[in-house]
Amino acid sequence: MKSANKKGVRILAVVVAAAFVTTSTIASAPAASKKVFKVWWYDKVNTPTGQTWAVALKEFKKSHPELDVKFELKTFEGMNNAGAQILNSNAAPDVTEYNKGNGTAGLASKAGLLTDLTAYSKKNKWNLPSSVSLYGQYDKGLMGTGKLYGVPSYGEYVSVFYNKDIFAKNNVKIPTTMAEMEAAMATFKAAGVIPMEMGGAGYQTVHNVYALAVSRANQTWINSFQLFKGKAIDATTDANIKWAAQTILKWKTAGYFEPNVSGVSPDDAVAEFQAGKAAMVIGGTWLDGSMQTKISTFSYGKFLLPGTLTVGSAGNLFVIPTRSKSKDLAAEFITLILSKKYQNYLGNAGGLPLFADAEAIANPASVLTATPFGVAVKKNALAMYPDWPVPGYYDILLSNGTALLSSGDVDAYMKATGTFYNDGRPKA
Amino acid sequence: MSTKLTQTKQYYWFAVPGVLTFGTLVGGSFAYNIFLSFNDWQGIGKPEWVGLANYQHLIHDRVFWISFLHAFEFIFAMSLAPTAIGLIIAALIYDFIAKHFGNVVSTFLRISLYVPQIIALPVVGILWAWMLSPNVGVINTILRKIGLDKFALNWLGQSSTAMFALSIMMIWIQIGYTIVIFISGMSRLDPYLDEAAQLDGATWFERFRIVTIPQLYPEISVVLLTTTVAALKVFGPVYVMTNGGPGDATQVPAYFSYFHFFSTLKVGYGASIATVLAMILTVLAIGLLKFQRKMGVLR
Repeated sequence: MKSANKKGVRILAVVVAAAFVTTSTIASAPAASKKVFKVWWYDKVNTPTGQTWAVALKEFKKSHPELDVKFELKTFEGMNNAGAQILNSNAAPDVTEYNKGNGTAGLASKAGLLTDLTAYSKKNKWNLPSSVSLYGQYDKGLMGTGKLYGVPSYGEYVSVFYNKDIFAKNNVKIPTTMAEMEAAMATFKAAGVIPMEMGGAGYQTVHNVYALAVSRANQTWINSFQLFKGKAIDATTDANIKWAAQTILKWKTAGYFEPNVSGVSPDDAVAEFQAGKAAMVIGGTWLDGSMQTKISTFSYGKFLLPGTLTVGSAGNLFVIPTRSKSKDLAAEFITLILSKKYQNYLGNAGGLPLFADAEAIANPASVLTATPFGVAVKKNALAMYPDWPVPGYYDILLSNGTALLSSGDVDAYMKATGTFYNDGRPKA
Repeated sequence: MSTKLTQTKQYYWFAVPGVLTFGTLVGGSFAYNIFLSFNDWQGIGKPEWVGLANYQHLIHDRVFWISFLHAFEFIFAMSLAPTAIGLIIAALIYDFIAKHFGNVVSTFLRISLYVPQIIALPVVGILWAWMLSPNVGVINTILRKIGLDKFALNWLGQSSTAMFALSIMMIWIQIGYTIVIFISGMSRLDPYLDEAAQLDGATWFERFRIVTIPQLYPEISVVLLTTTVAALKVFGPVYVMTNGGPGDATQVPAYFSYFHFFSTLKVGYGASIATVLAMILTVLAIGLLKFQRKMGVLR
């Protein structure tokens, strides 16, 4: 009985082993003839960037029939949370989109997971201006200066979408100062229109508070808050952040938002604006496509929130992982994406290219979104995004922003978010 | 004796798959997690040994203690309330509906009440977030229609009601599980006991309390144990509904651990939270099992 058992186990082991050997040979046989080239990004199929890159990849495939090009659509959250671990594994792609910022690309560059692209940039004449390349440059994991580890190819920013019909009906002009902005909201409120839609339960809380803070800030403040250069900011008492928190509460108390704003999701808020129920909504360029397709009963426009700086930056990066086995080809793909041809394509698809020819872009929706961006870029007024400086800051800003809107406790907000920022700031 | 020993030894082979999978998937990961909790690590690069620093930090972390308080509140929403409600509904379906309306109706009810268990949690989350939405949600719309405007609250958007709203959703999810187990338990009960009590003049509720419930002790204890453990390690509903907010109003240990593991990249700290949670769960589970053995429900 005993020996029979052992024999049984041995036979089983042989069968299992044989099965593994045969399947692996079968699986690897056709792939062996072609070199696998793995490309990842996470911009969805219906976004301007997603469309443009897909077309560029098609051209890349055509010019490299010797490659077995494998594309995978990832998610922003997935790359944000587990990206570094993936880049550190054998599953790492040859070229991928990756999140900019200290907590992601910075950390990965510090750990040696990203290729230094400085030489490729020179060789392929990417000619990145420093206002663009700074998002891909990291020194000891901190963004802003140092070697080039990633390349942005598009821009994004947060602005105010407004209902032109409601503005005209109430004789309101595009506000150019914060006082005019508040006067406009008061007018809408008096006319029985919701002045401003806001999803207080989601990302709009994070963006809107920061948008208000940077509307009074200057580049010195940004350098300190985002890049840790110059005098350190004490985020528990910072005047700009405090003013922003107080202002958003003031707006809430004045009835400029929907009731129960802290429980409204950004999707619902945007849908209400698109249904013509509100005069304005603050939102990022990622809403451009949806605004264009879903608004049919009125005409809409965009303007920058009055003030000094605007929430925005060059978009996410393309990086070449250190584990990539085809770095030259990866650089070739990046060159293709940065080329005039695909930058113009991106512009016409409704995206925000960084290097397009203005006259080559005909799509009116593109002009609508590119004009305010051009203004912000020209005055060097992009303030980046609130959650960049410290890993995990986004969740803290979100949950405490929602609490701020429901409880009205500015001190608690400053203490919770400020302590997290101060603790998370890199130690000098 | 020796033949018996040889025979027992032969059976060791049957433990191999279990031991191997437990060792690699649970034991190994748990040991690695404990190792990480003594380190400062960002998920990549080299872990740096910091001894008990993470645990020292943990003791003084206000949010950590709040999260445990919430986990114990979830025991009510995921264990106690669903068990009590489940018992009553199971008895009603088994004793009343099945007898008066037939098996088709009772089976339909059982299945309908079980549906929340099989819907994927993210779908449940989207559904409830929409229903609880303060201005356009169906719950507040109904409350306003019937004149209860006072109760049309900003459910998930304020700290005072977020935990309550999540709890209602959890009860809705959990009762399906308890009902199915209790009904199957009831079908194994001896009908003569019930009949005898009935002949002695006991009312339905007396029979339920004195005859049915004591016989269901094994089922009740299993349900209480599994749901209590589920409540203490709850993650999904918080992740899909509130991300722990507003503020820290719905923060729970498992989410707090995840947050540090993946968002702040303080992997060692996240691991120390997970370790403490696992220890508490283990102690609690052993305690509950011992208690049940003492009560004589597990033989």
